[in-house]
Amino acid sequence: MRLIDSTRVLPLVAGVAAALLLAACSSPAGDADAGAPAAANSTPAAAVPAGPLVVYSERKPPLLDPILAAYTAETGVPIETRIDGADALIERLAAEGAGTPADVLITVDAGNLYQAAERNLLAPTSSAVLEANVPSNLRDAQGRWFGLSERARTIMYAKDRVDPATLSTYEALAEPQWKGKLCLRSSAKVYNQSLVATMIERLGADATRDVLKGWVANLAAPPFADDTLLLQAIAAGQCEVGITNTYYLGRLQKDNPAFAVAPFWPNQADAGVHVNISGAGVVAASDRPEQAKALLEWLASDTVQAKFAGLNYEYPVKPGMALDPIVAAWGEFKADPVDIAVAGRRQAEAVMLMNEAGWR
Amino acid sequence: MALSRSAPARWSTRGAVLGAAFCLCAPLLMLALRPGEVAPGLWPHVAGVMLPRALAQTAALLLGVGAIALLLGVGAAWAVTRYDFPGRRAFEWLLALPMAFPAYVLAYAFVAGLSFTSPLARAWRDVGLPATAFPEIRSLPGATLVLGLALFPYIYLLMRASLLRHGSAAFDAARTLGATPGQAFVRVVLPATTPAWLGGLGLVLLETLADFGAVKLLGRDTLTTLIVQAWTGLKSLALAAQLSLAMLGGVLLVLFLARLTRAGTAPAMPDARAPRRSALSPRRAWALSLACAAVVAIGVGFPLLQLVLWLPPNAFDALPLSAIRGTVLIAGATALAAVALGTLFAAARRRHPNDPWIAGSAFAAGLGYAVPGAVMAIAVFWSLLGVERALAPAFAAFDLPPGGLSTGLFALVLALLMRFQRVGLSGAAAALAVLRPNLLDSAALLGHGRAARWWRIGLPVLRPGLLAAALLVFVEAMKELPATLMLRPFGWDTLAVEVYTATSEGLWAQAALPALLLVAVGLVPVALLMRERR
Repeated sequence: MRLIDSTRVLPLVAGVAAALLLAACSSPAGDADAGAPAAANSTPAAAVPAGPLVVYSERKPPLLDPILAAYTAETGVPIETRIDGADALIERLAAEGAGTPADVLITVDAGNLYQAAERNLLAPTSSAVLEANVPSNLRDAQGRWFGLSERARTIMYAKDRVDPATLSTYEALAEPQWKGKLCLRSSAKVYNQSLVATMIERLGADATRDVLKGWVANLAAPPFADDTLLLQAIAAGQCEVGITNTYYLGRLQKDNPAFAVAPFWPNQADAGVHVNISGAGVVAASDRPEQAKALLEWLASDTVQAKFAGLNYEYPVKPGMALDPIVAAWGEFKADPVDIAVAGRRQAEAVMLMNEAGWR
Repeated sequence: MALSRSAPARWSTRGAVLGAAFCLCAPLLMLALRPGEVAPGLWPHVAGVMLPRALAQTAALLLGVGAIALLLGVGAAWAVTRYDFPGRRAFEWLLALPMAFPAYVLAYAFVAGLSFTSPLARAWRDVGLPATAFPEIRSLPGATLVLGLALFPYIYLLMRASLLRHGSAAFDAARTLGATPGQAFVRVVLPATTPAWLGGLGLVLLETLADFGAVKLLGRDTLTTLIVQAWTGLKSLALAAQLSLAMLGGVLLVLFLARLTRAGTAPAMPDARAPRRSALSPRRAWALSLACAAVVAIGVGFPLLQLVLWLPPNAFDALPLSAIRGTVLIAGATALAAVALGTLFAAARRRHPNDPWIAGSAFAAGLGYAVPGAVMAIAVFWSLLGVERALAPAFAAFDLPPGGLSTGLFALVLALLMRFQRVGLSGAAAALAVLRPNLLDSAALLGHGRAARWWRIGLPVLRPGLLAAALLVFVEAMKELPATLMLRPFGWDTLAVEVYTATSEGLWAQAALPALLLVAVGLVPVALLMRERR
C-alpha cells in the first residue's frame, strides 16, 4: 500500500540533487557579480535563418508599432517585437548568448544602453548615416548604441503660482526659498539617476551631494512613483516646482490644453538642460546585423525622425527636424552637450549619492 | 502485505523523501556555500548608508504592525465570541475579509484613495482645512496602518477558533472568584490561548518582513526592498545573495527561538461546550457594533470602493487575458507540485510516524514558508546559475538553450514551491487523515485489487481534501509578488505583476481590474478557513 513508487522518484531526485551539489562545489573564479549567466558558454551561431527581424524593446507598443509597421510596408522586412523592462531584456540577452533570436535592442535611457554595451551584448556598428544624423554626444563612441530621440528632463512649475523669473538652475532648487515647494520622483527611476550622473560629471561629487541634500530638505511630499503623478501634484497645488521629462507634460496637455504647468529651461547660461535618449543598438549575437543596421539607419533618417519622436512628444536627435506643435510651443533651449554615456558610467555613483542624501 | 503498517521505513522511501526535501532546501544552502564576490566599494556604502535605514524601518514596521494586528485580531475575536451585539454574525465573517486583499492591493487602494489629487483630499481642502494637515499615507504610520489592516485577520481567525474551542468556563470561574474582566482576560484567557495569538503574531511578523509590494508603494525602505535594490539598482547579484543569506539567518534564528518559547506554554484546557456570550447594555452593544463596522469600513469597504471606482468604464471588454493565463499556469503548476510533494511527505510520515529522517525532511521542506519571496528568488536564481555553469558542457552537447534553467518557468515555479510547500503538506496531511487505513484494508479483505481500492475508495475520499489544499497553494502563489516579479520568464505576466507595474507608475485605473480579480479569488480560502473553524 505504498502511495508513491519511490523506485521511480529516486533516480530523478538523485539526479537533481547531484547536479545541485556539483554546482555548489564547483565555484569557478569570476562568479558573475552582475548576474550575467555565462554568455561565453554559448554554442556557435547557426546559419542565417528565415523569419522576421526580432526587436527587443522597452518602448511601449503604441509608440513603436506604427513606426515598425511603416518600415515593413516600405521594405518588406517583417519585424517581431518582444516588449519588457530594460533590465529584463538585458538579462535575457545575456542569458541567451549566441542563441538569442534578437537582432535589435531598443530601450530608453543611455544608462540602460551603456549597461548592455558594457556586457558585450551590442555589436559595434559603423554607419555614415547614423554618424551624420545622431550627434556624437548622443551615441556610443564605438557605435554600439545610437540615440534615436531626445528627452529633456527639466524644471516644471505651476503657472498660476510661480514667477519663472525666480527660476534659474537645477542647483538653485536646493535653496531655502523652495522649502516645502519642491516635488521629485523616486530616486529608483533611472531618469533621475542619469540626471544626477551628469551633475556629478559637471559639479563633482561633493557639490552634487549638497544640491541633493538641499532638494530633499525642500520636498513638499515624499518622492512620487511617476512623472505624471508629480505633474498632477503641481497642478493641484501640492507643490510649486518639480523635475520631470517634458513628454509627460505633452501627454497631459494633449488631453487638457489648459493644464496649468509649464516647463522652464534651466542652466541656459552654463551647461544647459539635461537631455537623455531613447536609443537602439545591433545585438552582438544577431545573425543578420546588416538588416539590423538598416533598420537603425531608417529610424535615424529625416522622414522617420520627426514621427518617431513626435508620437511621444519627444525631440528628434537630428537637429532641425519639425516638432510636434505641443512640443514646439515650449520654446527652444540649449541642451547639455555632455557625452550621455556618462549616465551609465556614473550610474552606481549617482545611486549612492542619492542614498546618502536621503532621496528615496 | 497491506495490513502491516508499522514496519520501519525502507531506505528507498527515506531516500525519496530526503531527496525531495533536499531539492527544496538546496537553493537556500547554496547561498551559504557560494558567497560570490561583491564589487569593491559597494559593501561600505550598503553597510554605512542603506542597511541602517532598512534595519530601522523594518524594526519600526514590525513593532507597529505587530501591535496593531494583535489589538485588532485579539479584540475582534474576543468581541465576536463573547458578546452579543447587533450584526455580530455578519461581523464574524466581515472581519476576516481583509485577508482576501493582498497587502499591495490594500496599499494601492490607500495610496490612490488618499493622494493629494483624490476626491477625499480635495473635499478636505474645499471645506477649508489646511492641506498640510491631510494625513500622508506614504509614511511610517501610514504603512503600519495598511499592513496592520491587511494582516490582522491571521490573528483574528486563529484566536477566534481557539476561543471557540476553549469555551468560557475558565473565564467565568475567574470572574466568580472576584477577578475583574480585565484581570480574568490577562491571567486566564491569554495564557490559555497563547498558541493562537502568538502563532498568529508570528505569521503577521513574517508577512511584514517578506512584504515587498506594499512597502514599496508606501515608500518604505526595508530589508526586502534592499535585497531587490541590490540586484536591480546596484546591479550586484552577489550583494543581494549575501544580504539574503543574512536575512535567512535572522529568520531561522527567530523560528528557533519561537520553538523554544512554545515548549514552555501552558497546556490548553479545551471545553467541549461553546462559549456563553454575554448580553450587553444597548449602548455598549451598539458601540461594539460601531467599532467593528469602523474596522470593516476601513479595511474592506474603503479599498473595495476605491478599486471599483478606479475601474475604467469598459474594463470587462478588455480582460487582461495574458496575465490571467500566466497566473493560472504558474500558480496551477505550483499547486499541483506542492500537493503532489505534500502527499508524498504526508503519506510517508503517516506510514512511519516515528522515523526521524522522514519527520525531519517534512519539517525542512516546509521551512520555506518563513523565507521572504525576495530571498527565495535570489537563492533560486543564484543556485540555478551555478548549476548551469557546472553543466555548461552538457548544455552545449545537447544543444539546450544556455540560461534555460535560471530564466525559465522552472525557476519561478521552484521558488514558489519552496515558499508554499508547507501549505501543500498540511493540506495533504489533513486530506489523508480522512482516509482511515481500515477503509482500504476492508476493501482488500473483500478481494479488491490495489488499483481498484485506490480508484474506488482512496481517490473519492481524498479528492476534496487534496483539491482544497491545491486551492490554498494556488491562491498563495497567485498573490505572491517579489519572487514572481524577479523570476518571471521573459514575456510572462501575472495579475500580481500587472497590479505592481501599473501602480508603481501611478496608473491606478489600469491596476483596478487585475486587483479586483485577485481579491475575488482570494475570497475562496477565506471562506474555506471560516467554514473549517466554525
